Amino acid sequence: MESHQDPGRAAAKMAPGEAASAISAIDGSRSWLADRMIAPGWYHVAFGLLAGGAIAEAEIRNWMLLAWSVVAYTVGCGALSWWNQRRVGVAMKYFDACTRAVFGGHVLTLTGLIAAACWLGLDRGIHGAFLAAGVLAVPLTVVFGRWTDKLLRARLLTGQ
Amino acid sequence: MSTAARFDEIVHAPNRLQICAILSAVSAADFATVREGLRVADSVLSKHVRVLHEAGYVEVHKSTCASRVRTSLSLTEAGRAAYDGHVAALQAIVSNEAFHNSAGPGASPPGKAQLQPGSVVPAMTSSSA
Repeated sequence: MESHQDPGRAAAKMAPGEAASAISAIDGSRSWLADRMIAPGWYHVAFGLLAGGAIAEAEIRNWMLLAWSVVAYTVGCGALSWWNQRRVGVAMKYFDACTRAVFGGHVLTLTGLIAAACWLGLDRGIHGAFLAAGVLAVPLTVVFGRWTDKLLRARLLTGQ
Repeated sequence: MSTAARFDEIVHAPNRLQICAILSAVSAADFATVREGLRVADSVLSKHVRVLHEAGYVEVHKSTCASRVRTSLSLTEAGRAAYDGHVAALQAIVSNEAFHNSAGPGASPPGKAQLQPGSVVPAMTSSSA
């Protein structure tokens, strides 16, 4: 049975050292959780390869293959997100103003890359434009993914 | 947002404080994740979760996925308020000591915070942790 003495009296009896170690334990738990949220190194690379593969594949100019690569990209992203959710074992609001802005920046960057590849490859007839855009998409996706992880970690450490 | 400092005996137990610290940062966490964070056995975590649940601080959700029961935990509004108030009370105790230490010798009895008995830690409000 839990004892429930007067909480104010319990607080008054508490040594500051004990309170400090309790706060330190809280910080430790937050830090553990924040570290757990960081995805393994290959995770964002896999997202990048999915995006880069789907873009680079347009170089072949086979629309059926392009449609399948878009499906593979969608299913692959879903599977990766599901796996990460299971690995972390928590549900939380991933998007706040900062992470939403980074995600928006990522989408805009990839859209810009695809638009540039379309202009160079389809309008100007330059070979390798989609391939180059696909290759560029990989590191860009990794950078934006790690940036999001960093913001998420900082948010968890401050307990927001 | 500021939170009134309120020492909470239920939250204060070390394992329960850590459970609340983990749950306060997320919407819900798997039982297994919390157990891993605390590095305790299932039975120990169950005991603490039951105490928090009976106090109305934690909700326990069970779902079945591929014939396996998955248990997740989340803080209730009351639990979140109790945890925030408790953290504010701990910070008040620590900052009271820091204040008395900086005021010089004799300002505070050694090893004790200057707090009056009562349910709410006096004259202290602190930012929500």
